[in-house]
Amino acid sequence: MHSSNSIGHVVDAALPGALRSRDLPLPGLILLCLLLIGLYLGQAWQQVDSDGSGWRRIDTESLQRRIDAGDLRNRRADWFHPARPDELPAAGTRP
Amino acid sequence: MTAVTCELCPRTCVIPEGGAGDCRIRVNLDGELRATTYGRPSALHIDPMEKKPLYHFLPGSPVFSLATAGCNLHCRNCQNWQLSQRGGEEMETVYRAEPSEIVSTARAEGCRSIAYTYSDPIVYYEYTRDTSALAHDNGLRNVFVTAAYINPKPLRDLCRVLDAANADLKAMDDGFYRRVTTASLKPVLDAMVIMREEGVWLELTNLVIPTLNDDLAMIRRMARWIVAELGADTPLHFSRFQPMFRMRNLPPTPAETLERARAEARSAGLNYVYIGNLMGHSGNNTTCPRDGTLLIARSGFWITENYLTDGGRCPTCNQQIPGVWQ
Repeated sequence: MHSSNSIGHVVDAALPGALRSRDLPLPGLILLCLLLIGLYLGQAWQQVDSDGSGWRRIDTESLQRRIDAGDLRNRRADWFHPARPDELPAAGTRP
Repeated sequence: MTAVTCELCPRTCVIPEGGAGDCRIRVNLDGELRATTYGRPSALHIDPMEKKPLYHFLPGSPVFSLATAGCNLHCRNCQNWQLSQRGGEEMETVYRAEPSEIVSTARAEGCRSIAYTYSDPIVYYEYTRDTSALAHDNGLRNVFVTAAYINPKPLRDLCRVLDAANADLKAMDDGFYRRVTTASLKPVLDAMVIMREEGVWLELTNLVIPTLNDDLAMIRRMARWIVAELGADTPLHFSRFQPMFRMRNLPPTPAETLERARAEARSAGLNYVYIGNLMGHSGNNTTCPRDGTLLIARSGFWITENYLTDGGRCPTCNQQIPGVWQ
C-alpha cells in the first residue's frame, strides 16, 4: 500500500536532477531578497546619518517671489561668517 | 559664490549661495545669511501657560504664542511637522507681525507673557530676541519652548531677555537623538546648564515613546543628571506620546509607563515630576514635597484648585515652592 507521500518519493528518486534545478531558484531568490533588503536599509541608514548635517536646496525663485511680495523677509541674520576654505565641503558632497 | 557658515546651532551648516541651512529658513542670499521669517509668523495663538507646559511660572495666565516655519531638528514623531518641517516659501499662511505689533497685541489681549514655541524659536533667533527685548521694555515676560539644540554663545546672549523655558530632554541617549531627531545629546545638556546658569526659570519635558525611550534605567540616569546639574527642584514633565508624522507604528504611551517613569524620577531625587497629555491624572497636580499637601490641581491645561499662598508657599508647612508665581 502506498501513501501519496511514498508515491512522491518514488517520483523524486526517478527525477533527482530535474528537481534540483527546479529548487535552485528558491535559495537564490531568498539571497536576492536579503541583498535588496540590506541595500535598502543601508541607504535608509545613510539618509538618517546625513539628514540635517549640512545645507538644503530650496526653491529660490519661490522664496524671492515671496520676499518681493512682502510675505517673507530679506533681513540680515546674525551668527554667521563667510565660510573658510577648511569649512567648505569637498566637491560632489551632499545635497 | 560666497558660502557662509551659520554659527547658531551645533550643525554649523556651510551654506552656498542660494541654499538654506538645515532649518530651511536661514538662507544665503548674495553671500549673506538672511532670516527669511523675521516678523513673518505662521502660527499665532493665545494659550494657557500650562500648555507649554510650564507649571511653576505664572500659573493659569494666558500667554501670547507665536512661531514661524522651520526647525533645526527633524523628529520622526513631530506633532507640528506641517510648520516645523517646511521653509517659509512653502507656507500657505504667513502673517505680517513686526515685534512691536506682537507686543502691542499681547498687551491688548491681556497676556502677561509671550511664548516663542510650536516649531523651535532657535531658528528664528533674531525675531525672538528683538520681540523679547521689546516685550521686557513693555513689562511682559518671555517664554522659550525649545529642543535646546543651540550653540553656547548665541544662547547666552538670548538668555538676557528670556524669563522661562521649557526644554525637551528627549532621551538620555545620544543614539536616540541621532536616530529619532537627527540631533545629538551633548549640546542639549550643555544648553540646559547654560539656561540655569543665566537665571532662566527652566522646566523640562520628556516625551515617553513606547519601546524607544521608556527604559527605566535610562530614566533614572536622566533624573540623576537633572538633580546633579540643574537641581532637584527642576520640574520634569513626562508627556504621553501620540502616533504622529513618521512614527505612526507605535501606540500611545500607556498610563502605567508614565507612572513608573514618574516614580523612578522621584526616587532619584526630583521633587516636582509631572505627567502630561493625560487628562485628569493626579500626576498633573503640584503637591508639597515636604508634607504632600495638594497645592495646585489641574485638569488638562486648566487649573481647578490653587492653594499656594501669594508668596508661593505651602499653606500647611510654609515650605517655599520654587517658581515664578507672580
